[in-house]
Amino acid sequence: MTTYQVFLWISVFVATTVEMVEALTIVLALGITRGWRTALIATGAAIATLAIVVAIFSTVLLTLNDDSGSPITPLWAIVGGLLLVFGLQWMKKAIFRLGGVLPSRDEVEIYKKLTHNATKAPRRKKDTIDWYSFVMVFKGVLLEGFEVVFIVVVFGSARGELGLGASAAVVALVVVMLLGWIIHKPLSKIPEDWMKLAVGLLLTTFGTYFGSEGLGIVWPLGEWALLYLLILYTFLSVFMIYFLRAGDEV
Amino acid sequence: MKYIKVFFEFWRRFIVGDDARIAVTVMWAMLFTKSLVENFINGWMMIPVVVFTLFIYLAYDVIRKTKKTPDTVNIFWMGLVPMIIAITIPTLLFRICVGTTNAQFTFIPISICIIVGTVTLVVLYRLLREFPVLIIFILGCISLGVVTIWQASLNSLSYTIAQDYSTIGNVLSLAIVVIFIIVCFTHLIGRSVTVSTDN
Repeated sequence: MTTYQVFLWISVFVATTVEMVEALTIVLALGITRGWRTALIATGAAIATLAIVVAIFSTVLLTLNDDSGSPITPLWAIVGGLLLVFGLQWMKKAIFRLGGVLPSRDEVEIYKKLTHNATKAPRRKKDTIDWYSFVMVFKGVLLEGFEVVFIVVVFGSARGELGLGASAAVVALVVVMLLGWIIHKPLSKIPEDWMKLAVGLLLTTFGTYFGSEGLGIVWPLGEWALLYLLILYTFLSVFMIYFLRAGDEV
Repeated sequence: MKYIKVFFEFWRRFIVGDDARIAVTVMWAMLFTKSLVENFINGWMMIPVVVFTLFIYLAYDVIRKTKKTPDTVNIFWMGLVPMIIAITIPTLLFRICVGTTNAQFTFIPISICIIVGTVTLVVLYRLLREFPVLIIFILGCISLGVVTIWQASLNSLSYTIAQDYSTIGNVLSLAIVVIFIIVCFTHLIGRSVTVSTDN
């Protein structure tokens, strides 16, 4: 495995874990309060939809990707730009949460709210499928999964590593599902903010690297640029978290 | 029509997210990097520098909104230290490991301009306590002059005549970078001084 492949696998795995932990809270809340059958059908439907989206988008991007032998194509600039925007958004959110200026996502609180609403929502006994539950779970899993799909497709298409990205996403999905099945509670102990920060850092690093290369920049020390960019951005993040936390005490 | 609107709104929210400043800054940084490349400058530090600047600004902004009291000295160091590290360490590493060309060293004059500009602004703000737009332009011009002189000295050493022809483009591009960064710092430090004084 090359440095790129390792980074890619870790990025997709962590990103998928974070998003699926959030989706799991919705599935558990609806599954426990309104029945597992509909919740599982909706989860399956959402995952199938996401798979179709991956197939369509990756085909389009692979067609656009110039296979003329040049390792760098203008597509990289677009890919890099998108990764950068995504990465910076994740980074910002994580830094502000860890710095204490934004509240952290509380899975238990969200779970309680969802359970409360699900218990109150009316149910039509004639229907074989509980549509309230279906819509909530389908929408939740689809929206949380969409970001992961986007990362997998964008990463995968740039260097033909779609399979590797997809495998990381599937492993993360299985791990989260198994944990959810065993624990039967929202996974509130998972350090979501730190994981979000890690994904943000990796996406920003790749975005900077790809984006610049796509524009014609030659990185000093080649692929090692990934490493020093990651160190630089990590330094920035740690510094900012420290600063924002210190701001509390002023 | 409603569905088309919803479709585009979904994609806008998905890609741009809840903070349009990030997407706009990335677009700006990439366009600028392209302009540097077109002008024979291997401006590999452009995007990292912009990311650093953006985050310093975002941090300041969120502090202001949450009504915490930022410490001017902290903000100053917070902005300056990472910026210097971001610019100089990779440049020096590159020089030690690979050797260098003039283009790579274009970022050293920029970093010097940033430091000089920031220090001057902090001193001025302590005296004036307001947002002197004129000073930004004056400092921008000074920075432009510094970069021009630096570029000229580099050019006379090893640039070819053909590359000399692109100097105007280089200088203009670099001037915009310098002015942008100085504007960010100006806003950052200026507002923080005001907040500190108010409190």
